[in-house]
Amino acid sequence: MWKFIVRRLLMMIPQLFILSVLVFMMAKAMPGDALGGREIDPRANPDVIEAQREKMGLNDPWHEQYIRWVSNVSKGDWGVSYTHKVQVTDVIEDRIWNTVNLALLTLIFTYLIAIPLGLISGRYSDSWIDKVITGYTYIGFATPMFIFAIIMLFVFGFSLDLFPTGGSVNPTVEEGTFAYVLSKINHMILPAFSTAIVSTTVIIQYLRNEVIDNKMKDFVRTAKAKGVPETNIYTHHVLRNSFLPIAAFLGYEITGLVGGAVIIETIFNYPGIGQLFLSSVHARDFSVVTAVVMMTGFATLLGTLLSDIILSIVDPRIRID
Amino acid sequence: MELNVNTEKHGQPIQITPSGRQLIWQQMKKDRLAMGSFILLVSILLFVYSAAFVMDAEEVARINLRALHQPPSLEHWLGTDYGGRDVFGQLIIGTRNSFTISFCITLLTALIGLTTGLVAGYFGGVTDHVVMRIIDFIISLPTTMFIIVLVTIIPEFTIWSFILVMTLFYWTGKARLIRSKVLAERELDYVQASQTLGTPHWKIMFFQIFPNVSSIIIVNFILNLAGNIGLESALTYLGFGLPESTPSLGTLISYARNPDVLEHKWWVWLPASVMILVMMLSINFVGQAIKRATDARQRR
Repeated sequence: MWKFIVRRLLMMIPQLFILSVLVFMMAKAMPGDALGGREIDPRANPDVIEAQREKMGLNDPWHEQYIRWVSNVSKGDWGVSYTHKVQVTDVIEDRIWNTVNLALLTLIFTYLIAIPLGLISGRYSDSWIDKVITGYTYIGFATPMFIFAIIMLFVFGFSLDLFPTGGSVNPTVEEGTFAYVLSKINHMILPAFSTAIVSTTVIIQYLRNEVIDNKMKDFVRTAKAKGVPETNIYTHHVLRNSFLPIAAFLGYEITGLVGGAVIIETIFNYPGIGQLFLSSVHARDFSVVTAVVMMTGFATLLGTLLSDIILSIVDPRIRID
Repeated sequence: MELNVNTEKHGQPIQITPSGRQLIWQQMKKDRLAMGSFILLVSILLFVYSAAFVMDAEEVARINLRALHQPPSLEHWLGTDYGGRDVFGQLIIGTRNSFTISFCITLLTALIGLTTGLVAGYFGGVTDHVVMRIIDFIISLPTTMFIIVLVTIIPEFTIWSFILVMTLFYWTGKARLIRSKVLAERELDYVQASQTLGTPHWKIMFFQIFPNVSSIIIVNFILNLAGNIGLESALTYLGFGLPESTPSLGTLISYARNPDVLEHKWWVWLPASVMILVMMLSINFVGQAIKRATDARQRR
């Protein structure tokens, strides 16, 4: 197993390298100085622009620019934001916790929905309640998340006025108080729940199949013979056996959440990384764009790494390769 | 010698194994939900394509300042948008564009995914290893962000560049699926026999293995078509999908980014949302029915 984990970790090196080259190439294709965010006045006369470009090293051979960028980034220097006039890292730091908190709450909702529904659906397979849950997973699978989120926002945010329709916190509450925390959570419930209810369906289906497979196994029969209450068998014995594979979804969930953040944060007007990314693209603030893409790329690579490692612990067949 | 065996001994007809197409049709007829979805989908598409053919696209796109944001009426069945344009007309043209473009993306990804999947699975070894590492890498990228950045930096952005950008990122799932099936298929005797006879590899791949994995490809194609409609409209909703000259369903929904439209002018964004839901659900139901028909274990 250690051999697999080490090999999988080593694979991260070329992956990171290719990711950085891709991001670098995209940044070079953007107008201006997308890696440093330094300004060049386009109205200046061509000679001045040329002199400035020369001074900033934008005319150097590309591999020199690449190495300079990578060494800056590894020192934590991502350049300056053109619109915010501060370091890119500061802009991102302001937003990143909003996204992380939202992702955490979404994960909690996802598993809170998936585990009971999956267990019930597997335990009472082919009953009416199983049919209802299976029907829900089919519909959830086919529903695009963004349309569901818009409808949720329309119904619960605007029509019923139960939840806030934008922002991450009520601006009138003081920072650090209990009310502040509550307000933050209140702003996250609707986006997190909308995402969870659609993305949880895969885990429900998986858990259902696991439970049905395990139902007939010897350890369940032994437990029954010992007189363990039926519900306990499912919540303790069966669930424990299916726990790791479900946990393995975690990494892929993270990858999905990072990608989905752009859409969900736009719909709910939630000031996180995804919204920062879109507004930076609109404002042509390319140094921020480059940094966000590189960081989320890194995060999703880590998510996949996490899933692969958990899966390799669960399923020894994966390790042979 | 009597070699002729009478198969119709007791006047009973011979039991012929039904062909794949017949099987699918039989399953569809049994499955009322799938049948209903199929009829609904076909009628929507027939209506939309014929209506869009008759309709004048420029007439729909013309801005009418005397009819801004009107609620549904007899003249404008689904009201008008912020430019006074008829929402119903935009819905029809949008549905047509969304479906056509998603179909093109699905077709292109299928072609690329099929070829790479066949090659990787059939040859195995180093080829397989290299292709799979590339696929693993692309799958773990933050796809939405990469697409948005590419859409922004491509000069002279057209429908075709959008289709190509989407294809670039979405062929991987298909390739992985087909590769895993081909990997199992190439161990079978008919492939070995053909190889011994000296049949060229490409002939074995495309004329012998391909027909045997075609049912999976068809199911995957249908499910992907539904998924791509959602992806295309989501990107267009964000403003990074189709160019403005080709409105899609996502264009209509994107007006809902304005809270006022979302809250008070439901007729602008709701019909398009419902249209996407209906199309995706019915395509999925048809796909699931075909999946059951092609998989003997799931047949009812």
